[in-house]
Amino acid sequence: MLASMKKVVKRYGEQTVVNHLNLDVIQGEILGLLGPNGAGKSTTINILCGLINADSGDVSLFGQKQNVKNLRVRHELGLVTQDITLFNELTVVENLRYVGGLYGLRSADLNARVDEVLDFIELNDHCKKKPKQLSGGMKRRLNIGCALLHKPKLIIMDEPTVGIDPQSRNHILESVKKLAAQGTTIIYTSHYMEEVQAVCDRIIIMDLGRIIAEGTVDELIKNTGHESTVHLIAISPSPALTQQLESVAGVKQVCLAGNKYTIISNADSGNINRITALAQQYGGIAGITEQARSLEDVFLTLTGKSLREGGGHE
Amino acid sequence: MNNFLWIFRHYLKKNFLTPANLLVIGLPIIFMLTFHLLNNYLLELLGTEVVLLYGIGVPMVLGFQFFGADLTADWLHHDMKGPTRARLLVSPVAPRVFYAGVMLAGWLFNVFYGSIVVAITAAAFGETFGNYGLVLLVLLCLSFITQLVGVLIFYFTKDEKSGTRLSYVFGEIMIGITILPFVFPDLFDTNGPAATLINHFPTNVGLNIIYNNNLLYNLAVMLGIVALLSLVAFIIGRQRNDNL
Repeated sequence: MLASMKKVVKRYGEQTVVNHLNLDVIQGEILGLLGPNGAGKSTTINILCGLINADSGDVSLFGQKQNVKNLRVRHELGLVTQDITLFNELTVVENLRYVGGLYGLRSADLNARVDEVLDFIELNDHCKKKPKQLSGGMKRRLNIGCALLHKPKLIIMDEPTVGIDPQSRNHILESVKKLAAQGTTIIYTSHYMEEVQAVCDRIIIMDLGRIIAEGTVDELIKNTGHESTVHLIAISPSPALTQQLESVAGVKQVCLAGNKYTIISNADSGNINRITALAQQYGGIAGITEQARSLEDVFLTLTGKSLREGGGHE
Repeated sequence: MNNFLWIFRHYLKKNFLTPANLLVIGLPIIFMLTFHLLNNYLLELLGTEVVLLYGIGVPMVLGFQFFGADLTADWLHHDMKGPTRARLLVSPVAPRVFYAGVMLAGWLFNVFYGSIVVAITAAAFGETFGNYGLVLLVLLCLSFITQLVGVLIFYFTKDEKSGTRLSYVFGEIMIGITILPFVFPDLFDTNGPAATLINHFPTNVGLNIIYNNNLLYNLAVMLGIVALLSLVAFIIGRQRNDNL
């Protein structure tokens, strides 16, 4: 186990932000950490990084007890912050050099590592520019680069793709996969469910400071009883058809807009066949689709909230 | 090179590349030049020598040292409380090493700039500084006090903006207090409480050391101020850093 948190509690005043949290990070995995705003993700990350101490519980990293005073484990830890943490007065290459120096890299080692990271984040052509001269995506890449210089065993990425264009997002996601392929363990948080689904081996869903579900995407979908959505385009929509659809066992909600029905029913109820048969009886079908269950549905079912609700971060 | 020297080098370079720092050199020289020209003009106009703020170069050099507190507080605010906070705190460098690096860089930089102003005011305006060893000692003490004040301003202010505001007010008060006895010499010739208070301000203690007035006593006062501020900064620093 690369990192572990046992019965960790963190309170701010009366509010318990992390509530007896147990979390294990397995070496080599990309672990997705999901949760609505206020779920306790950022606090969990801050405790894991040693930026703040937990009120109680045990946190260990690389077999050592982690807290704000433990500086040794930080040589093996990289943090990609949600906010851009760059030195505006320094150029791209100077930013990398300065941060590399903080991790004890010097002279030839530092130069070689800076060159490697510049290649990795593809900012070679912009190495003399200052952060304010870079696009949002380039700044994000440099932000990631600063966390990679010392070749950490564990990288924590807290919303590394916020506010950037799709091209830069794809570049970052590819980078995450490349890092994982090189054996780096990654904890990845994002408000973009499709990113987490695309890169993560295992996902933890948090709410109210606790883990409420964990597993692979398939496991989460399979283990979480939730609703499925059928979209039906009827040739002759009518109140009678609506009434019939509502009476099907397992159907929870029927909405009609124009000739389009949206029918929400229990998952795995096999209702699509019954709905098709009914619609055929009442004038026929122009089209019918059942929406594939996604991580977003799992999240919504478990937390009752959309991942992007509210914005900001806790 | 260890991490402390790495950070010191970074901030020393930053001091040299910060245009605002030129004020520490530029402003006292501009003031000196203005007074010099005004004195000469009045001499020509009235046909007799008018002593206008004579000897103000030395307090100017000392008073302007206190603008160094502004940059120290600013940089600590920006780097330790601002956007780069997490980047620095997640690195294997203890916060006290950052403070020490910023302070040492600012300290030596201000001594260097102060020495340049001393050289220019002595050469161009005929200011007399007496024993240059004592001048260097005073600059070393005052610049260090400035850095400690900068750190304390950082601890006691919420953000960069409020830190800057307080630093400027502090710097202006220090300059004002330093030159006050030169503007109103009669007020401070007496041994009243105002004169006693003013004479124990760091810059005025520095002036007394440079002018060799009651040297040992003033040296003790200066070192006492350094020790007291160091102790306060250390104690408050420990409390604050435990709660980062």
